[in-house]
Amino acid sequence: MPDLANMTWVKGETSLRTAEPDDADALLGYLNHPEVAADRQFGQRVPFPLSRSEVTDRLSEKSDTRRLFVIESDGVVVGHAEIGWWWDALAPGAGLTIDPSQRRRGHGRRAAAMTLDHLFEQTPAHVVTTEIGYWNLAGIAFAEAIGFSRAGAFRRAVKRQGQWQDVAAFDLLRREWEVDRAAR
Amino acid sequence: MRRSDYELMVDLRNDLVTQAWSRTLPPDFTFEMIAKRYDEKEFSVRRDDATFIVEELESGRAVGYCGYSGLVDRQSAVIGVAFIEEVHGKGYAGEVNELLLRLLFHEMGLQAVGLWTHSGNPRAVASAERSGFQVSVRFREAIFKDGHHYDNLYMDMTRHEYYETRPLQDRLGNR
Repeated sequence: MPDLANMTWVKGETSLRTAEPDDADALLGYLNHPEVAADRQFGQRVPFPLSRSEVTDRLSEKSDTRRLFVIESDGVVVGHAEIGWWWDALAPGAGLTIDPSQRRRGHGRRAAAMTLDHLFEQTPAHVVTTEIGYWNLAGIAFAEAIGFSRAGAFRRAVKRQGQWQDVAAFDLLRREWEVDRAAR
Repeated sequence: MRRSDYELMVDLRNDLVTQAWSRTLPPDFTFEMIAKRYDEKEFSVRRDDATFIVEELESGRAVGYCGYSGLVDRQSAVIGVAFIEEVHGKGYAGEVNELLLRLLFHEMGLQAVGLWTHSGNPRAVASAERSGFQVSVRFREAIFKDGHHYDNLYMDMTRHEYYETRPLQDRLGNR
């Protein structure tokens, strides 16, 4: 695997770099926003507000199979992206979160393109997977718009607003990404 | 599980057909590795996994193991079963699944129980379907085994489906 630390990728007005513990305050600016917290950030199965120390600890974790990136525009953190392949580098998972106040400006699409380009060009990824709560209709529409296909759902995976809800699963094959890249 | 079961666990762990792909390779797990894993388990009421040995009632012989992992309190868990080749096809997986499902739904109050398998193991898929599991997630070509890509399959059963098909009543009252 390439050393992902200290890398900065730029696409248009959006850049990605490896997250640092010092980014905790910037991420906390939106992590507990209801729209973001509903998506169970950082692997939460039961939602609760994240503290600065919890976010700092998460950003301080060292791993050669997982990376958390901050997404910036004009020096302002507008979101974060996470990739991981604990089980198999052939099939890494990816996730993307944009600060609700920064949405609909193209940051998500550009960050997703950089993340997927990295996974398919610089790692052994053959298929990339992602998971999105069924209540997150905008997130599902976004995933499908950038080429992901529905792979099914983890049923009754989380409780939200008084009901057990499913989490949708998506995948994107290398050959599908190659078609998308050629069209860009 | 007893220490005398560790040899069986070594054989099951190194089974190239049922167990070996990706990070479970290479199949060189030793008795010492297995012993270290299970000997070092400490008493806790906050465990999120369990492993049981499967014995034939008639002979008392240990023929496989089963268990669950990734338990999220009152929400979900992932089960796994494996048997020695000699007893494949005898229907033990169905019996073991039933015991695990009763434990996880009726005693532990979970909402969903799942398992991971892949499209290159149709016997495992069929066995799980007979127990009432359905393929809920199919990650295409996410498994590489024996020189081929296979789909990674997550099969699950919801609490509602479990009680709908068993002569038991769901009194949890948490729909």
